[in-house]
Amino acid sequence: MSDKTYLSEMKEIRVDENSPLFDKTGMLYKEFPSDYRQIRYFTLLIVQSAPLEIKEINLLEQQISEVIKNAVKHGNQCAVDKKVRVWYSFDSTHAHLIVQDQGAGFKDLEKWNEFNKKRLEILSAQDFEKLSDFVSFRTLKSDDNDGGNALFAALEYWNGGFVFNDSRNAVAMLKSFPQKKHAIG
Amino acid sequence: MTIESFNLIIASPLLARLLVLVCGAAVFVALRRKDTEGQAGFFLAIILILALRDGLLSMFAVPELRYPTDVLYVSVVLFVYASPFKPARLALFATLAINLAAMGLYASRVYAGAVGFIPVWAYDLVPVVNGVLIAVVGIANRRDPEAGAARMAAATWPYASAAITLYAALVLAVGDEATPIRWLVAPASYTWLVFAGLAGLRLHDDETLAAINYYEAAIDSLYNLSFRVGTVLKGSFSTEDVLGSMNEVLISETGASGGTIYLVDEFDDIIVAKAYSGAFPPPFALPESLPRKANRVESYMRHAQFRLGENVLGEVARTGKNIYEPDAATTDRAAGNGDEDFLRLSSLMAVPLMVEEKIIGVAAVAKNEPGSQFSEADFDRFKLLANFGTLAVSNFFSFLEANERSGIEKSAGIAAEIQRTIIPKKLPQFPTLGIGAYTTPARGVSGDYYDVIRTRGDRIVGVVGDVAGKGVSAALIMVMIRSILHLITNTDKDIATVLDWVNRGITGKIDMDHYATLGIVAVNIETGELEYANASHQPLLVYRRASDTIETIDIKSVPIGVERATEYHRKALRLYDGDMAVMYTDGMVEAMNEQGKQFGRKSISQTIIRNRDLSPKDIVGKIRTELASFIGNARQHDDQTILIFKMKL
Repeated sequence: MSDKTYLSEMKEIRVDENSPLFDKTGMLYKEFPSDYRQIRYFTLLIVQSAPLEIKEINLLEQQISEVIKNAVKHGNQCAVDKKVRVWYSFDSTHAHLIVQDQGAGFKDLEKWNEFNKKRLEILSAQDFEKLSDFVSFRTLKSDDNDGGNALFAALEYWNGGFVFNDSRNAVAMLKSFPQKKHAIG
Repeated sequence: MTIESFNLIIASPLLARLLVLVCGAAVFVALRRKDTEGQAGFFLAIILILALRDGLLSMFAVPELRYPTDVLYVSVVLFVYASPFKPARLALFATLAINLAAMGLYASRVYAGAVGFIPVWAYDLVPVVNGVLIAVVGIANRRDPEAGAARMAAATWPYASAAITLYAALVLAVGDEATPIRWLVAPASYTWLVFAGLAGLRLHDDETLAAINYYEAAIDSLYNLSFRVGTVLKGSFSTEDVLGSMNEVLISETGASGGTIYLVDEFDDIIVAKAYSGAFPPPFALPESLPRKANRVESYMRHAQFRLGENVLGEVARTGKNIYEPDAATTDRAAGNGDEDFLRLSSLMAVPLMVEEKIIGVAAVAKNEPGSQFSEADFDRFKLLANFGTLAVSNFFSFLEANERSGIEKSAGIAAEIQRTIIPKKLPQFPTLGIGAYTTPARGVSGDYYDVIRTRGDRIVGVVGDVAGKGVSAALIMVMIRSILHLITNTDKDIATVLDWVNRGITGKIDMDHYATLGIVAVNIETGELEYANASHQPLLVYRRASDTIETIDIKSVPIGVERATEYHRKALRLYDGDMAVMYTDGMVEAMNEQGKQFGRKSISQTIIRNRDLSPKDIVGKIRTELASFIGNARQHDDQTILIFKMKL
């Protein structure tokens, strides 16, 4: 992919409660307590309904785990009595997920977008000196394990969109798996 | 038949002539079986004309027919020998016109007594002209190498020409009524047909032999290719290895200096290099920034990818057209790439790799020695091998796909089999405690587990669990949990401690994280006392006969596998006559219908209350029917399991 197309497809986190990605029709549902220790378990419960044919299942699992982690940690601040609600549907062509927490919502969303935009510009300009200032996104609440890096990756991975609701405590995302155009077998 | 005509036959040279003609006919019939050009048919027609003519002349006294039929005969022969050669057409038609005119004039003279001023010898000169023309055409085209009709004519014209010219010349000299002519010369003049037929047969055999040689060599190449590809397949399942050996066979069988194979990407409109070996000078402009060093260019070519339609290889992949450029040096394909030997493109061939109508890739070979060229035969061989190789490669891909699919199916099948094996075949029943259970696995999931273990005479343990994840690894965790349970429920440890032990047995023991929820009850079948412990499983439902209500009993906890040090807790309660304890998995509660509605704990509770008087076995049967009709045609996403204990004090 050339630098130009990279810029023209500038990816950012959108806020749009009316996005079709929030349509829960036909989606499976589970809810979990905000127990940080159980994030991998919850992820496994979700991802086990993905069909066997999906090849990069580990990548999918990792991405789902990050989103649930965000909800548990940044959304519900690990308050065990607060719930994380997950709607999900998978088939061999797509993965669709909605994760909602009971927190105050992603306040720094615009800041993050701004940061990411600059980061991408610097990347495409190949200005590696400046890039060192943009390797991670941090706010006052960030701890040593946070860097907003998961979100950079999430935007790349969820190629069908990564959209927050208006109160920014729910995020819907869609991944379309590549389909064979020229089957050889 | 009159006596007179019989005498005519006896007195005529008919038998001698027919004998020769039959011989000729036999040879041409044999040739016709092999000949696909229809040439033998013409000769058989000539023989038929002669046989009919001679028969008629012998039976009826019509000597005036002799001349026109002779001209007809030489006309057909001339046609057979001159028509395959286009430049001779004009002379052919002119002569045929003369023949026709001669027949007409002859008829006018015999029947109307006209045109008496033309001398008789002039008529007899016409067949001589025909015979000479056959010779002229034959000599003019003797180097014509073409196959089929032309080749047959080029090989046998001397027989036809000599026979006709000599015969016609003798007739011209001594007249056709002379006995030696009728008895000797005429029959002898027919023998050329036999010789021509035999020559045709030999010609045909030579062609067959050449074809056999060609196919023998081609089959050798194919065998070589199959053998190489087969050998690779035995040792590896790598596309690169298979295509690599196909590439090497293509190079060696065409005498190329190097070659490359690209495949069309399955997901994108690009071709990707899969094999490259030898010296294959790139037949397109290399990037300017690429250093013109052999190893750099080779490494570029090994990993190159192009859009469909980009450069000559992309073009072949897009259009499916063959490229055959024996003298590629005259094209400017490699212009500007550099003067180094390894970049010199002398000769190039590229063909699409096709499966039915689909283009799956491109194979290309090239020569870089100055002046060295691929021959037409090399190109034929290359196309043949590429076709055959593609077949082998596409079979290989089909095999890979089937293998992968069957791997998935097999693994899911093994997991389902393990699951089926470890759940109880038959549930125990007691006068004071009835037990009912069922599980419906979902395709490819196999995570649910239930068990009923009799630990002491009066103590029955019931377990329902759900291993997270799927496939064989989840099934193995299930087996481990079952083993630990069977081992330690037999001690007098309380039921929460049993969970602690199971958790310690599973957590952190294996390299991978594994989780399971587990609900466990221990019932005293004499007193109805019940202990309940829970590792994050669905809450226990207790049906109270006295109040006809359902109690939901939950103990907050984490699943098995999260932390080694987890301490599980228990609750104690008591079942009275008609009371039930119900455990189930989330696949039951979360089962979804086509409207996206979940079955829910409430539906389970209601079904139990409605059927409170039935045996546990019948109640689980009712729940099963209820759930099935609720789900309708929606897909089952998760295993569904339920276990019911009913007290009958």
